[in-house]
Amino acid sequence: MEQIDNTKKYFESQLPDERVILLIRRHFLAILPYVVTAGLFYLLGLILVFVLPALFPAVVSGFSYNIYILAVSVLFLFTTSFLFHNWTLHYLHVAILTDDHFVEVSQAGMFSRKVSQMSLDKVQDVSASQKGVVDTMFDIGTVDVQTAGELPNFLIEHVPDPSGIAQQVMKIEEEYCERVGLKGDGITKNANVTSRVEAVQQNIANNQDATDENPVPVIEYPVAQEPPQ
Amino acid sequence: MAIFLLIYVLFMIVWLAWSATITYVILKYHYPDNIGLSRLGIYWAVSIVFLVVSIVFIARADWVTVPNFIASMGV
Repeated sequence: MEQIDNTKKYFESQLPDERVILLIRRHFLAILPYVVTAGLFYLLGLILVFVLPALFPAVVSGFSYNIYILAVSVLFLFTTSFLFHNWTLHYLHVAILTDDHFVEVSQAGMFSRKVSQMSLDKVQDVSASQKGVVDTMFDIGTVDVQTAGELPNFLIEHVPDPSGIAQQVMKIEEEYCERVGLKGDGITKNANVTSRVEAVQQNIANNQDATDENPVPVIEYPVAQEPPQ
Repeated sequence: MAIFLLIYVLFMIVWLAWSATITYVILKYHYPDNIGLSRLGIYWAVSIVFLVVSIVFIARADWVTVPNFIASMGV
């Protein structure tokens, strides 16, 4: 897990008193294909520098030797850039759990960045899944943060210890809901809207049967407090 | 025509633009963990080594022309 320094800002829209609890970054294995590709190019460069001149000294000598080494150094240069480019995308692509929000920073390209943010009261369910031998061996998986209503789900792939992260998200979400009063009296925040609709519907039905002598009790629906801005 | 020098300059323009983009993005969006900045330093250090090597060899080969190059290969 990343060390969090809460004296500093982690994302653009972070509030001054908002505390970062978890910084979730994809596992290193997520960029392994790029590392292997770069490794193969480095290996090719090393073969070109050390093996080929020994095997074909006539070809790689004199004028051509300078060009040859130049081409190899350019190959190394571009391979290094390729590797660092992909590492940068890996490094900047994170999910951040704060005490108020869940934030997903998606860095698809150098100039393609998307920051999705939702209040923790929108979290409906969190699930962790692992698929395949590699995921099981290295304890990597996908954390699916399901949201209430029409909001899109947050899917964080290739993260280490997905179960631990899911548990921590749920724990922080419950703490947040208790703090802002979205839970209580056995009514969960997600059932809140449903409870209100059901209560209104029940009141309408009861009123149709009500008389002056026999009034029906009005069912009061739960009212949630507004989360702090 | 120093065709290799021209190709080299084109490659360097592409590489420099690419590296400048990566550097800009890291400097703009890096997190307070300092990992981004330290890796950026390593990237530039490694790149400068390869860059110096390439400059040394282009300096030694800057007068090489296509006919000379082909002739040097014994064709």
